[in-house]
Amino acid sequence: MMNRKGKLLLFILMFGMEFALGFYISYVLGYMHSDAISRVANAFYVLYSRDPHLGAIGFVWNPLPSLMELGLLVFYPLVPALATYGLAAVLMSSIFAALTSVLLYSSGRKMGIGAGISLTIALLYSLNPFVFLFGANGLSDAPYIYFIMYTVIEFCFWLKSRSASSLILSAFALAMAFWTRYEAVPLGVALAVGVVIAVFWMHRNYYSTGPTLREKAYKVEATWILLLIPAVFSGLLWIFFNYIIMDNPFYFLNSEYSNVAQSGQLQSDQSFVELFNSPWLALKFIAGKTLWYSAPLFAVLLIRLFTKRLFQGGTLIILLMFVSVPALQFVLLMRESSFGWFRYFMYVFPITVAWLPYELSLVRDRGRKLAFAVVVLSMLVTAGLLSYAMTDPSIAPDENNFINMADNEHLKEQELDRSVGAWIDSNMNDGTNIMTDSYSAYNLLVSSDNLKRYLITSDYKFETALNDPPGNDIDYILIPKPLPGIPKSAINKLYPNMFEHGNEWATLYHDFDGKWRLYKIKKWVAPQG
Amino acid sequence: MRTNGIIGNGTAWLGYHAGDVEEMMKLVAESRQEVEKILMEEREVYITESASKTNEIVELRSLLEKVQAEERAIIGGEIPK
Amino acid sequence: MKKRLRWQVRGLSFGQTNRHLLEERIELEQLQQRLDDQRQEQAADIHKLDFEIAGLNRRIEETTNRIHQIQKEVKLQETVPTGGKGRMGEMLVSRGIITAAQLEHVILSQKQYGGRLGDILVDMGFVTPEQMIQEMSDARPKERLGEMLVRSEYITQEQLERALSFQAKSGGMLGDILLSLQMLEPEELYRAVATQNQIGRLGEEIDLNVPFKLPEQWAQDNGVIVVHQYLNRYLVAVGDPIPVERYAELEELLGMPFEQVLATKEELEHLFSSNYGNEMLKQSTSKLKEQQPENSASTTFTFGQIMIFAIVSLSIIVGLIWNVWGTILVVNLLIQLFYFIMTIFKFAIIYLGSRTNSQLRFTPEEIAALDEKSLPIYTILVPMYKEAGVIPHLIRNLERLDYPKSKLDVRLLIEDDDIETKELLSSMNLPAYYTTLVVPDSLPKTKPKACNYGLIRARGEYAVIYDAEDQPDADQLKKVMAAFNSLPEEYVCIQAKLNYFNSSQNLLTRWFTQEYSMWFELLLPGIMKLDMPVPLGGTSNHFKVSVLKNINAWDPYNVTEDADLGIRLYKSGYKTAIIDSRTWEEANSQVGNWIRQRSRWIKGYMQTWLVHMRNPFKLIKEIGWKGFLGFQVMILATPLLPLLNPIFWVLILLWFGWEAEFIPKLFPGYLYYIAGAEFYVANFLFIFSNVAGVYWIINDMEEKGEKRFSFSLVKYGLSIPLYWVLMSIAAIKAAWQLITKPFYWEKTVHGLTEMNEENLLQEKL
Repeated sequence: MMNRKGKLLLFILMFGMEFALGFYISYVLGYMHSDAISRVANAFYVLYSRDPHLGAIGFVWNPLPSLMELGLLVFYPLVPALATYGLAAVLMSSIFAALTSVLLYSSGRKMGIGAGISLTIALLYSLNPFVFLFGANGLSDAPYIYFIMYTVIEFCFWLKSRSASSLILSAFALAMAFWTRYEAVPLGVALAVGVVIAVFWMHRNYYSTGPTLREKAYKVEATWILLLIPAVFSGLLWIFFNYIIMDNPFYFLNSEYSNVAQSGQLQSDQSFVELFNSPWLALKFIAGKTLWYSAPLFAVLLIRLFTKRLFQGGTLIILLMFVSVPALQFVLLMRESSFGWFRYFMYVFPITVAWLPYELSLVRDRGRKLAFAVVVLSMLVTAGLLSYAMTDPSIAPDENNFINMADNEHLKEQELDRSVGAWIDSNMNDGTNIMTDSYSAYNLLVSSDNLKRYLITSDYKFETALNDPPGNDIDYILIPKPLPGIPKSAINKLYPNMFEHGNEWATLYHDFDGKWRLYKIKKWVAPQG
Repeated sequence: MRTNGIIGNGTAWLGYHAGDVEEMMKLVAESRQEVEKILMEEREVYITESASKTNEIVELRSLLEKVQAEERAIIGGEIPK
Repeated sequence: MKKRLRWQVRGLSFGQTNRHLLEERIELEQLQQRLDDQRQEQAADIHKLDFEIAGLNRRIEETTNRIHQIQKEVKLQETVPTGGKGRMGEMLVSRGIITAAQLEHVILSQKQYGGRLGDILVDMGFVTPEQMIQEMSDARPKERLGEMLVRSEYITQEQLERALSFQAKSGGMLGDILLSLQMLEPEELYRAVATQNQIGRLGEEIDLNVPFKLPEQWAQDNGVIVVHQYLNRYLVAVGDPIPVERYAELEELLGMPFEQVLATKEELEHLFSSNYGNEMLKQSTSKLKEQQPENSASTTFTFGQIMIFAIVSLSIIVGLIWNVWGTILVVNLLIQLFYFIMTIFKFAIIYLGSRTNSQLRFTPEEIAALDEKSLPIYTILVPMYKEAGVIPHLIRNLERLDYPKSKLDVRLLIEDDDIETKELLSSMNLPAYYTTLVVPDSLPKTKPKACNYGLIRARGEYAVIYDAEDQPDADQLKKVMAAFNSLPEEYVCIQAKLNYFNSSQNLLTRWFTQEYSMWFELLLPGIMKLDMPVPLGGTSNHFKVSVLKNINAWDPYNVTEDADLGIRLYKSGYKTAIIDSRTWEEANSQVGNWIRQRSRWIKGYMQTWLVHMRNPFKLIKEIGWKGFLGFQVMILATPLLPLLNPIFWVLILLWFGWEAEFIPKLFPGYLYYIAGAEFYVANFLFIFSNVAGVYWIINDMEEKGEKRFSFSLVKYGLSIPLYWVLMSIAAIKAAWQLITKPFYWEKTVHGLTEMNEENLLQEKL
């Protein structure tokens, strides 16, 4: 009972701190990472757009974070800041950050490790400034990290006890991770190989002679099915949804808004072009980024070396899971479609930390204290390294934005977007029809107090209206300034010159700092062509 | 069972016709009397039959005793021989 | 002419008249019943008198014959057969108290009916009781059975010691132990026991023309049956000597003194079935129906139910006429809601079932620590029909059970017209704890009827049912005893988990294995954990016999009597637990056969649902809301979902294949999301839980070092939707049969697999 109360306390404490920071950044300072706010926006469209339907959640990003935010956004009418300032995302990420603390603590306890050690690991991880920031910033990384840590921890339980229930939990956590971020795919591959190692080489003592090789192979097959089917099914379902709703099974991969499309701008960056063309350089680049997070892995290897277990199957499994993260980035770089952001490499850290309780449980008595000391040291080193990285915009530009608001370009953009929304709110009637592309206007859409005024991309009429705005009762069109390298919105794509020169059926009505323009649509004029 | 319809001297729409009911009652009563009669008759037959059998048994028992006594006498009589 | 059209509007009231008529009829029927009773009574009386007359006549004739012989001085030269029973007779002859001819008649009579020579001599009037007492005065004092058997050279001293050491370990009666070790024949043992108790043995050529029958219940309770009537006393056969305190009671029932003769269990069994066969049959077919008609499936649909179905269908039809799409929408909404609730609930159950404490588990050490002396007698009922081929395997599997054999009461229940099995069993010379019971031919010819019949004379304190082809885990009975000992009093039934030994035979058996693994490993434990009514599986359900008899055992009219019994147990406030011990059955390997079996099960679930839903409000009162919900999930959803599924499969095909336009009309707004979630998520979860269930059990067994299954089985779980199609076919067949022939028992053919397949599998592994 005390344990239960303790966990609740830990949760409340972590959640409180994370949310406080998140609230300060997003509400008081008014900054939110564009990935986070656009996920909130997607959920927001589902509930409050002209045609509320689940399809409006979008098919580029994995939908689970938006789905969870959707639940929170039910309370938008009571607390508008949930959407306007993206507090729904902050709530989500801080809940998961707190859950992660509790998960780490309780997995240590379940592994048979003392409360003190378990709590220390949980806190050293959660209070790492870099990790802490991701609990507060509303990005999808917090739930993703929770799910992959759950996956790894249950997988470790399986390694230890071989109970089917751990495997099932691991499988569902992996599927959840997939619904949160695509990075779950390589982790799944690593686990699959891990199963082979565990079944063939981590032989447990049976009552009688071990199974034959053939039966072991069957066991691998069966274990794969159990462990991977939820994730594989999720993937297939996602492709299927893309197919039936967007008419393109790989819409999430190759649409104009996908990562591949967005990374097109990298072609103009000389340093990236060099990386794309040299596997060796790419490897060096990746290794450099990964090393920042690698101290706990070295701790694990050190412990294994001194307990003479370095050449056991377990070492290979943790290495595989670890390597799966940079391996994906390597593949993406070779395919010329990754920004290689610093944060993309951070997942090696939670994966290793999730392994720690298992690792410590394998060491007995005095050895455990020593091993624990090594672990604590590695965690402290990581905290120091990552804190330093955050202060250097050349290493971690995204994260630096959060602590250096003065130089934050994105904050300025967001403020402008909100002011556009506010201008429209105060100058337009509720009944006006404004067509805009929600993929670029999400910031001003979530801050608007009447979303129904806008005809947005996910609305059923959008396609028709796009081809003939005057004929579809559109009053205004709001478009952003097309910028090189950034994917064009649907409107700018169809009418490339409209922002600069207007149209025969559209006259400039208002200009917002040269970044946004509002065009008034003439009525009853047949469209050209 | 007949309910309504044109029978006899009239038609009842909501209920049995009195004539029908009477007929049915009569039928039941007749079979009852018949059963009662059989019951009585069989009981009498049984009483006489069982009485005669009981008598027969009594006779047979005394006969058996007589025969057995005779046998014993013969056996007894033989012993001295 | 006037009378033709005189319309009368108001006649005699239907209700009153009917009531009146009914009263009259009832009186008539009562009268007829009295007539029948009287006839029966009188016939019995007359028969008794006739019997006595015939007996007297015979004796008179015999006596006069003997007199004639003596008078003609024709001496009988044949010697009287020597041996134990002849000794006293010879002595009497040599001393001239009786003649050799008299002795011959006495021995003849003894052979026929049994009893002690002295008593027969007295009865026939050849000697007086006083003479007898004088002659018997040199009889031996009562000695111990074992010693006596050794002295009489039935067994050797070593054999006795071995039996005694068994007794010291496992308890039980010495006689039963000797028989279970097959050290001597039951006839020899009973001969000795009879001598030990100074009573007679049952005759060999018993002719059951007895004018008097004890009331059946009394006879069954005390194990006493009248086998012959002498002039002044009855001869009664008993399994154990009647305790002295019962003498008076029995004499009062008989109206005459009695002499007891000892009969072996098999003889007694035979006597009972030939003497009380009809009563026992009636009891096993109609006791439940008579005592609790509300719980019997002998009526499939009650009038009320037909009315409700009619009203529901009528309102749907009216609705369709009034507003086609609106009605379809409402019906669809209800169905979707039903699907949704059932799905959520089923997964909650499975989740609960996956907890390790959902099943009762015992370690091998705990089982080994059980004191065998504390173990009660255990009845094993094995109903079978035309399964002669599997009998050798059955015997082998039963012999493997780890339970003191002297405390087993195995009852093989075979049908009267199953000549092959009957012959095979009678030629087999089975150990004494096996009893072969032939169930008389009558309708309904179902497994539950046979089980009821077998239960009537069951000797065990506990009973279990196995099918002929079952292979129970050897420790099952002991585990169940350990479970009963550790559970509160209200647990009266323990279900072992069923699974299949021929799982790898073909795709069908693989699917079937997956389904069973899921059902018994996860679903039923979850149900037990929730304390909801557990629909028992066909075999390996262990009962406390007294309770089982109290609630009238199985419903012979229900074709899934097991599931129904689970509900009735729950209704009576009893509980069922699931134990971590398995029984291996043979999975149906042929599609046609499988569909027959499945349609019977589904029909039975429908029957069960109809029986207990005759009054839903009463049911809720009896089993509470939780039980009611569990009942609907298990008993209604199991047959209904496969019936509904095809409709929605067709809709999905039409939608994704042809985008049929009417379909969106059926699924507006949120209903679309519910249906979608069910389609994508629930279907996946059902498949996944199948995979997980079968992985679970294989993994579990591997950890324990058992190798029944190969992990290669798991992948077939992914194709389980095809199995659902088969299930729907069976469900449609079942629904049709429920209406056309509700009690018809679709017999499943067993023995379609090579019985030693499991050995092959083990070799392979």
